[in-house]
Amino acid sequence: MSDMKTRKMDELIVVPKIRREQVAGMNIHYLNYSLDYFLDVQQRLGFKSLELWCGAPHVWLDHMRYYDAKAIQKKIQDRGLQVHVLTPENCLYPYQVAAKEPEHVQRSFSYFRNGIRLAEELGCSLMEINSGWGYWNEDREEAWKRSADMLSRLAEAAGEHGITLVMESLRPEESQIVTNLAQVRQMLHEVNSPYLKPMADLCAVSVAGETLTDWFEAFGDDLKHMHFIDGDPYGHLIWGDGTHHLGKEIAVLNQYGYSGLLGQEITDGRYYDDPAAADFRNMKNFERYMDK
Amino acid sequence: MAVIHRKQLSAMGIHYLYYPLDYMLDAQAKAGFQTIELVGMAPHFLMDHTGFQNPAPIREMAEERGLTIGCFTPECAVYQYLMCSPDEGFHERSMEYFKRGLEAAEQFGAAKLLTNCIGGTWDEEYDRVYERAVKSLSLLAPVAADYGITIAVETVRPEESKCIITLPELKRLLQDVNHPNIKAGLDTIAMGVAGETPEEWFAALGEDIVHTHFVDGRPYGHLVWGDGLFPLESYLNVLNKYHYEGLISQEITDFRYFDDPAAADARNFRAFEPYILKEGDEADV
Repeated sequence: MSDMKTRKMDELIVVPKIRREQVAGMNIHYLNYSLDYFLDVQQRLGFKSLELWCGAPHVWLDHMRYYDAKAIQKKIQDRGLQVHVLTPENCLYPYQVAAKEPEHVQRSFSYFRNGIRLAEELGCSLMEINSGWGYWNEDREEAWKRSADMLSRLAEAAGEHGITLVMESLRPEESQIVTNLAQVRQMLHEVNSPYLKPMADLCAVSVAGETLTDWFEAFGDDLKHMHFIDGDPYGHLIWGDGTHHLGKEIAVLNQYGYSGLLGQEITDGRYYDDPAAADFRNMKNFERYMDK
Repeated sequence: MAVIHRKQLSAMGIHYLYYPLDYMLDAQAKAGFQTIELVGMAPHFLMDHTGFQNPAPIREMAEERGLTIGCFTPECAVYQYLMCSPDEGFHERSMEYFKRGLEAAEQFGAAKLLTNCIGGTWDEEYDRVYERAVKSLSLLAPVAADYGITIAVETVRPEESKCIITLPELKRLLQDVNHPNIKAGLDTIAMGVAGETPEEWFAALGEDIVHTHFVDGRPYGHLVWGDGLFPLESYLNVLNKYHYEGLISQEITDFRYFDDPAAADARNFRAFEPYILKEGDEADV
């Protein structure tokens, strides 16, 4: 085989690549462990970036205030880590973007607005959000309107603090508002703010029967963030535990020049007992696609 | 044959997450319930460590439908508020939250408040978590006494906590706290997962069991009766044997029921119907 031919092969086969800084460790599956434990593990496994979930026992955020931002920031920086995205717990805690009762609306707005403030204080550029879900026994349009209204108010608040909200779609079992690409597009169109952008959660995307290619084709550079996790298609799994092909998905990222973060939103209960072992496996899989 | 009073059967609303309070109360009254264990969770009741929404209209809504609030349970497994939080600030706010819960329970007319000892982290020593459980409940006990509420402490699954997940641990905890307002709650799922039986629980704790989350399981689940593996009648026989007069609460939490919780509650109630005392039968018991 001539040298010429080898060179030609190299040009043809584009190896999928990601940068280490793109992989953003998350702390949801560390909910049985302290914040220090989580951060120590991230540092040890070679993570550089974080998407910080605000939940017990790590970060306290509520509708009145948040706590210990400076101490949290110091712990993160001391380990050579940087948090880029803040993710208030937005499914399980008593807040919802599409809340209905006036007191619930008020609390929910204050909660997410406090999240925006905390995101700014921690030096994040993005805060994760969803549409909320509404009530199953009400007109879907009513829930949609409340969601659009709340997202508009929050986008305005985000703009004032230099934060961009990134909205993911939800699974149809957990929302009747934004659960697929078309609905994300419609909601973004209605809110029409430069501070509300789409993000792809690979689980919700797959459950909706969509692909990352669909999302890139629809949103292009507006796609600002991802929860880039394995699934079958349900589940928020460690890479290797689902049915997605990591290399092929990364190839799609490369094809569209995506340089944003790959948030590791691991939520399956099977990882809660030993999240460090799960993250170890996950990072090893990502490292196959990083330059040495 | 086992017998229970209709008022002992108590509906819960965790699986009504996607439905408003009035829908939930309508459905539970229609299913046949006369008692509920109200959970302090959104969207049905909003509370935090500084206060709570006015309980009066909610109590009124329940009573209009013939429902009594027999037990109040501030959400204590999913939110930030956890009995055994290791962080000082988290723990302090959690204690304030449970005090607000006791205050709310009194205003709802509930005699009981159900909770557990979740919150200790896996990267700390067992004894520290256990001591925090004793300390927390000892702190809440006099407040409970002030409001006339008895706190029922349940065990949980090992996935949720490493501490107070078995009957012997709970028995030791109650002895160490040693307060008349701190008693036991039997959760049949935690019990089943721990490999324990109702007979063992009542033999060990007897009248100190003041509340139950009495649901079907495999043993995991929190299921509607008939969807799990537990023998309903023989479990009810144990309640009868030990003259248990407290609530038989239906803590249904499996996500399969969230889409149509009213159907789940109706089906669940029917499972108990053969054992419910009819009017006029009372004298026989």
